[in-house]
Amino acid sequence: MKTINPSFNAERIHIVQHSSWNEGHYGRGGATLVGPHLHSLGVEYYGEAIVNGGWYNSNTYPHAEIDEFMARANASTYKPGFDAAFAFYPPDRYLAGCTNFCGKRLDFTDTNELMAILKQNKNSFSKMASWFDNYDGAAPPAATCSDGIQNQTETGVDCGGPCSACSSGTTLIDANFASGASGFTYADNMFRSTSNAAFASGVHGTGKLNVTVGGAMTAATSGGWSKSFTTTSSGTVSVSFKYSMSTADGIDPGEWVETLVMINNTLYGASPNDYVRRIEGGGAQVEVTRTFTSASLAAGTHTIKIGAYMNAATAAAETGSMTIDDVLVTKP
Amino acid sequence: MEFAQAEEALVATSLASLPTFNVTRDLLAIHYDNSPDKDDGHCQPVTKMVIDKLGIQKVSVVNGSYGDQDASSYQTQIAAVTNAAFGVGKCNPNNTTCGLLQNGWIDAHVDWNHNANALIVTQLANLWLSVIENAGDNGHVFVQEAG
Repeated sequence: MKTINPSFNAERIHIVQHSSWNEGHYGRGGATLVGPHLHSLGVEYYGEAIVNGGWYNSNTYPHAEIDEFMARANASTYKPGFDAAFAFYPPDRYLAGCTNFCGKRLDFTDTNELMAILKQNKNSFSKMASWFDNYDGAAPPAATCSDGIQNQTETGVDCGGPCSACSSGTTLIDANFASGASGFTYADNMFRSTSNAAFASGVHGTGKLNVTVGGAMTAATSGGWSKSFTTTSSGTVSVSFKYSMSTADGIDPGEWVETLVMINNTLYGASPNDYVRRIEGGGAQVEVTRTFTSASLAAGTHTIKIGAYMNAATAAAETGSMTIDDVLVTKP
Repeated sequence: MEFAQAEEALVATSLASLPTFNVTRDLLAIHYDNSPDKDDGHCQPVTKMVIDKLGIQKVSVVNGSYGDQDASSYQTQIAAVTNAAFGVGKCNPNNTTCGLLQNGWIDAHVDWNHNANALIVTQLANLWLSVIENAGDNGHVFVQEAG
């Protein structure tokens, strides 16, 4: 994907898996072939879809429930698919002559990911055959603006697109930096208690805010842009901004540059880290959008800070740079 | 990129923060490895029921996404299951880049062979990009990594 479009937004790709062993395989393959910032969700403990699916404790799993499921499958419009599936993987294959974990088995473990992606409540099934009550039969109704589903070209559930506008809340900061810093101000030593102002700088240019850190320095440095906003009631705020990063002259292993964002004194990184993005030993990050929701803020004035930190560098040409664009802070 | 670095590049997320799937806009990318376990077979008709019931419009189904595992343990008989479950012409109705379709699904086994430049990789990359960059639609790709 990087070959086709170096600036594609990997944050729009979400991989869901229920096995940590498999996560290792796709982690290597996905991140190598597709690129960093894939969103990865393991649902190892999301449980087994369709009431354990008969996989675990299959020797004691009620055969009557499996039989009921198969009867419903046989009567459904999806019979050809089930017939082929049961021929390929016979549910009663562990009955005759079996000495261990014997019993009928249906294995739906790989529907865990599907249920998580679609946010379906698998726990609503009292028994396996209940699946057919939920998903068999009627074709989906035509999409409307009152069906409780985000479909059509809606931007939220039953709002946006052809429906009435979504409630976007109160805009607290909306800065695109097209003609200036839009009220943001630059300061050295903004993050991680650094005290090395000579090796950080910030300018507005090319429609973005820019920060450069690093050089032949003896201590960590940081710099960033900040702006205050005021909320009239307590609660969270939603934040999005674009950023890109680059490094010069191949900074060395053990030397890194971070993009950081902070509201008041709290860093909002990409979990489990407190930084949004770290580049160690050289590399770059194409412009991507970062979004997050803050912790609850009290009514009053708050400050958002976005910038860069560099832990170490040994040569004048060992620097890191970042850009900031399209900062949007709203209150739902 | 070393493997260890690649794994670190993944951004762990949570169920709660997973965006809401838009049944019109977003792509459900289903990847079955079928190697060596055969349980993917049971999942296919069940998955198709959900797709139909919710009216999901953009779906791609891949068999043989075993990645760096042993290709020799791939269960080729899965083709009959997928043909019966997903039928003809259900893959990427608005996209013509999925050339290796067999009755509506994508056969990675015929082309992958641990080759990052394989045609199947390019085809899927183009498909995913077409959703992500869909003229400002801001689509998402949700990968059901059914391995």
